[in-house]
Amino acid sequence: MSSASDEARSAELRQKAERIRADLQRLIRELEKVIVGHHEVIEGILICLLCSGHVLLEGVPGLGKTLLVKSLGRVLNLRFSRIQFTPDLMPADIIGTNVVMEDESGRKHFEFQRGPIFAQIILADEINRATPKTQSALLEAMQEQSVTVAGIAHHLEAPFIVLATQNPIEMEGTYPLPEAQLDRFFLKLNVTYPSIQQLEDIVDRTTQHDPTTLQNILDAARVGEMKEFVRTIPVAAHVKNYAARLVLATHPDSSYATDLAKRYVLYGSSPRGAQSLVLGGKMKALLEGRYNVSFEDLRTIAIPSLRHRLILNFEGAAAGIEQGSIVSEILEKTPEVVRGS
Amino acid sequence: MQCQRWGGRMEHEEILQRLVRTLRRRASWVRRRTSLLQALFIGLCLCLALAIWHRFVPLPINQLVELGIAAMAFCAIVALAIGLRSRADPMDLLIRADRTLKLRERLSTAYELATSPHPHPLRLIVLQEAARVARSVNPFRVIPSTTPRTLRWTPFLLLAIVLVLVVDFGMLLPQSFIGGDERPSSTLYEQGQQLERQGKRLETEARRRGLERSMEAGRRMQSLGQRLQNEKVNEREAMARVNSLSEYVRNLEDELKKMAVLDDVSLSNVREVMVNQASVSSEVQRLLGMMGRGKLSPSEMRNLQERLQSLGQQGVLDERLSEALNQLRDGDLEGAREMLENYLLQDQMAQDFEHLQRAERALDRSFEHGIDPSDEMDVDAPGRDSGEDSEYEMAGDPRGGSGGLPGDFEGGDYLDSEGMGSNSSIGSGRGTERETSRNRITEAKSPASRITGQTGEGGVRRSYVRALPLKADAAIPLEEVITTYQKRAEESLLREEIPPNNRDLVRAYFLAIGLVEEAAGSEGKDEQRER
Repeated sequence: MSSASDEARSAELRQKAERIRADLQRLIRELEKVIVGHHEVIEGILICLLCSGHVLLEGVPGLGKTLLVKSLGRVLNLRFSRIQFTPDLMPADIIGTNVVMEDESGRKHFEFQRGPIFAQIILADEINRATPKTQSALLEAMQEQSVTVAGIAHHLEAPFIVLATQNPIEMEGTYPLPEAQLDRFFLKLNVTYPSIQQLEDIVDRTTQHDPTTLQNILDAARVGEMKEFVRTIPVAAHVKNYAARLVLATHPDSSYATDLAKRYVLYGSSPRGAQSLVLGGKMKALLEGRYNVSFEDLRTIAIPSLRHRLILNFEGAAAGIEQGSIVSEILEKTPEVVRGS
Repeated sequence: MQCQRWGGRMEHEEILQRLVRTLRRRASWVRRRTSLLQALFIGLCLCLALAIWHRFVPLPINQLVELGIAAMAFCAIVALAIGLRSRADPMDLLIRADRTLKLRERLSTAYELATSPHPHPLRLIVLQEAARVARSVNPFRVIPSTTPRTLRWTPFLLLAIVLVLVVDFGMLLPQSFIGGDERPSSTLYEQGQQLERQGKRLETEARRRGLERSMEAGRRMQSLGQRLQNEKVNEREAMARVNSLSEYVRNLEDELKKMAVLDDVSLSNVREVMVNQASVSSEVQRLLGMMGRGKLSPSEMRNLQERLQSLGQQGVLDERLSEALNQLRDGDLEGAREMLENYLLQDQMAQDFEHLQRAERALDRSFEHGIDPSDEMDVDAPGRDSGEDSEYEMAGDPRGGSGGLPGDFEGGDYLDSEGMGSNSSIGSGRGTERETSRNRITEAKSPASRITGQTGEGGVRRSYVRALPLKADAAIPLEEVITTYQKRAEESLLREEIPPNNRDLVRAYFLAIGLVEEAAGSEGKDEQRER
């Protein structure tokens, strides 16, 4: 290995990174053909996809959540599955079940019938309309990327991403997601109502022409390659320290905790929050064409990474405190660099 | 090969390291400068404190300036020492550069990868990126030389120092606030005026007499008097000073008057005589010894004349010694010897007379007060003055309780001459001043009362004191009184009023000075010898 080969390797890595960034830009542009606005949501979904995470999309019905996920499945050329969560949905309806089958000779046997979870992009629509029991059926699949039925583990094909949509919990007929499940979502993205220009654009796109046909941009192998590259992006020690302090600041009994966290938070973020911060930061850096994570990357990703991991106490819930505002305060009050860090 | 392998990486690392060195130099300089400025500010604060201190406890201005400069210098040295010791962490500097120039942690991440022992797949790319942005890093922008915020107060501090040093707060603030409510009392003021007047008088008198030290003393008295009139001092302390000074002045005036008397009788030839009488006597005895060897060679004769003349240069060449010198020059060796023998005899008689007087006085005291005569009779001890002070207390005698200048009084100049006053041969006297002066004139004119003491200003020589007459009226020729006193001494010794247990002491004393016969008390003599 010589200097020239070093340079060649460096150039190769640069090209790889450039290709990834170009593919992602293309992907975003393709999605934006059907999704008006919601750029941050699209970017967040891509971050989760390349970081092996899952996304919780929160917004009132009719904002294009389901369309976004379906479009993503199309452009990625991944197997897409949609599960509409209802109060009477059972876990077996999601992961599948053993059914009695009769062969040609008349002998009966159990055969595992795969549920809709066996796909690569799962749209868990209105996930909070199902009971917690059913919601929990996703736990193993989201974390281990496998499901176990009757003692037999069934692995899910990579890449595996769950994009769950939920209505705001104050709506009728909703069940709040269990903390364990919330923690398994890499990001929680809020789908907000479009602005007037965006709304006009939506009207134009959906009433004048035929629905746009989306091109296939990536495949599973390419996504896997991207995922590997994202993880190689270095993070400096002081940046990691900042991420750790941000996460610790969500704990009310921590010395880094801010006033709001101390007052309204019952449980702070788990270590998954720190993982989410750093990985999300890497992805942000890559999207911006950098090869290192900055404080700004962490700050950008902090709110969607941490807000759903904060469990409010009674006072916080009663006061209607937004977890996002607590994270904002943490970002505001936590210094980026502390002496001796 | 190795160089080639790492050439590119080394180049990028070198750029990064160069940036680190630049930033470190800059940070060190800024830190030292900041420390120095802060130290100077602290020094200025100390100067202000000194100035405030100066208002209450005045210091000489040069001392004040020296203290201020010393405080500033000390602070500066400490600041420089601190600045030299501390070294900036490269990582901190690069983080600062990243944040200041919004480089998104490129430099710090690259430096961490460069210094990490673990290889990283993106290390080269990160280093390249860092090297690219490092070229545009301006160290002056990353580490600006900011002035400490505390220095904003420097003009006010300087103004405060000037105000404290210059402005008379008595005009602005109530007296009680500045602690200056102790105006000199009327008593002090009057005493100050009186002191000033006395000083003027003393100076005038001293100038007339040509006494430079007394003139200086007069001037100082005037200065002190003026201070007492103006300064705010503790009244009790000031009164004590005034009293002691007044006494000193009285003594000085007495002395001047006495000197005036001596001048009148033309005894100026004794003005600086501080000769030990014993040494003169011994010298005369040695001269007599030389003469006793018979005919002298011319060189011996010349030596004899020179030595005799040297006595004259010491101020003790009286008529008899002058006569002896003249006879010697005339070649009359026998006549000169006779003259010197006569001198010695008279000198011995004068000393005997003094001893006799002391003995008599001691006895008188013991009889009058019933005290132990032994306390009074140790006349041979040269430094024994406690019993004699009351008699010898003269103007300016430093042994006297009041004649000397108080130790706390205006420095040592007054005391440099072992007591400003003199050990006049004429004591303070008992009786009116006029009588005392008359007695002194008589004494001075009498042939036997050789005044061997010094008057006026000058040093004190104890050996000389012993040879003085004890009282102002003691200027009777010794030969006229010696027999009388010898007799009285013997009578006193036998007088029954002497306590039996003190008789031996008295006897021993008289035996020692040779004024009584051994037969007068052989028992006591034996006992004394044993003792």
